Amino acid sequence: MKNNEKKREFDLSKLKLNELLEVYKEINNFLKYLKENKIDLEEVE
Amino acid sequence: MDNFLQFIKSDIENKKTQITSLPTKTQTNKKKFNASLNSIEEKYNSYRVNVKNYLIAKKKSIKVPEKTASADEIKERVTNLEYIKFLLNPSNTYFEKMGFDSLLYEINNYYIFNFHSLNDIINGFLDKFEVAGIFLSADDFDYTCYVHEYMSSFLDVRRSKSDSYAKVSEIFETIYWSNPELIEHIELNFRKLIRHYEKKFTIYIQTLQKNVMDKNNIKSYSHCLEQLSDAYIDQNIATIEDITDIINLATSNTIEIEQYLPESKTRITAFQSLIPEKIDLSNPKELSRICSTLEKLKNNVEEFDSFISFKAFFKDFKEKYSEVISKENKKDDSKGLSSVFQDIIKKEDELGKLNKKIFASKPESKNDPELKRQKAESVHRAKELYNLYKVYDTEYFKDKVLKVLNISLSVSDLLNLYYSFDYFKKLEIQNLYKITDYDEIRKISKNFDLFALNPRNVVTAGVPIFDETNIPRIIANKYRLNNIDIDEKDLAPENLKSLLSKINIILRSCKIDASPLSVEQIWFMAQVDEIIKEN
Repeated sequence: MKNNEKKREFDLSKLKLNELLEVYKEINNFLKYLKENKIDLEEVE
Repeated sequence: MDNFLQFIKSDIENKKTQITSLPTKTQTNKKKFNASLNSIEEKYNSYRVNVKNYLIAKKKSIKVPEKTASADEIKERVTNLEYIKFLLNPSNTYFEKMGFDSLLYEINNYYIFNFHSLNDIINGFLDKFEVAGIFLSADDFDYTCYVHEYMSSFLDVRRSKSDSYAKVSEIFETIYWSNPELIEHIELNFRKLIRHYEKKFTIYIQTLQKNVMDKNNIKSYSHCLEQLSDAYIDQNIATIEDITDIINLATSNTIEIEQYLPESKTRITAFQSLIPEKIDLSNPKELSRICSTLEKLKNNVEEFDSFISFKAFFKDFKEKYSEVISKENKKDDSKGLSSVFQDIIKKEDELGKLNKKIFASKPESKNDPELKRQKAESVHRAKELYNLYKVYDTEYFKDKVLKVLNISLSVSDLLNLYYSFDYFKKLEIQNLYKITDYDEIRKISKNFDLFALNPRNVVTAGVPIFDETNIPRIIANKYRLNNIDIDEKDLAPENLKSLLSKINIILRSCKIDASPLSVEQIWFMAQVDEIIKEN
């Protein structure tokens, strides 16, 4: 299962140009989301 | 899941759901929460790096056609021929060809523009004399005793090649209260010297002209114009926007490439507004004809836009000279120059005699009342001469105008006239647009020259100064005959920018369609460049 997932994860060749950019945009936005949602432990203490 | 995009979207949704369900009450919870986010972040950073590398590789794999012609070599040829044209221009004399008119403008307006350095202007004059083999000494600066004192010190510093003009500034400070018009009188001294060395300057220019003509195989002014015309044609071909230029415009965000996508409203509107439905753009012959027509229309619109920006110039000239045009004998108007010139010569001669007495006085008689009176009189006479020179300048340009003035004088003729006389062009700009910033005047002057030299000018050649012409109607009528949907109001000044934008969209769209690339590919390249810039 893991190998298939790995294969599918990086099979970008099937994507159209606008889809490739959309992938990047989604990843970027999610990384921003993760950064914004981390809890500041010092503040709480 | 069929592809990575769907996988990512789904995975992100799942992860977000997981994250929101994680407990965060206790400190331990919070630490575990952050650890989970860090772990997801690590994975997604790795995705981002891989996707970004793929995007860059994909962009590189798109084959960009090479630039078809090198415009640099042709531009150099054009610049060289324009310089030869300037040198051979029959409308002006050694005075303009040496560049004295530009320096004169600067020194004449020194107080208005607050130049940082009067020294640069004076050195500019001296450099030009030296280039013609004339090395001026303190004795040459005898317009007044104050000019002599100032320039003696100046020349000492110049000869010593020192950077410090402190001594010269000190002298200026001491002289100023006796002679606030010192700079004006320095100007007059230079004018007199230029006139005195007219023969030498004329020979210098003639020699320069001959050398330049021999080196470039130019037989005459008209031969130069023919060569320049051919060079402009080559330049036009080399500089027509091609697919490489469009890609650069898109990747530098100068244009919004999204507007060129087939479904874009902007693109559809541009085509619908200018190209009649009956035109079959899928027919290559029709397409080529329409594009060629639109290139010409674009040139005409840009020319008209330049015309509008200098309309005040043409209107002012018309108002000044309409009466002269209607006179039977224009020669009466041209007598003024000779008369004021004779007056200048006579008064400078008288001033020279007075200065001889002043210069002959001994240093110990510095406080002698008669000497003080003579010095004050010399300053007074120099002031009178300064005003006389202002009249001379007006008559000088009027004389040049009268040589070409006729009822059918065109805008193109007038552009050429002002282009030939930098001093009067800048003066007109300063007065008409009421500008007191020198950089602003230089900018407008440069734009004026570009307009005057533009090889694509065709409209203004036929527009008379002394008659009303409806240029929008002339242009619109011409292109309606060529199957372009255009009317007068499209060419109203407030609509020109929008018209040019539509023409550019059509021309660029056609070029992209005719190229091996698609709009999507160019759009993709621009987006990837943005991503690279961000990180």
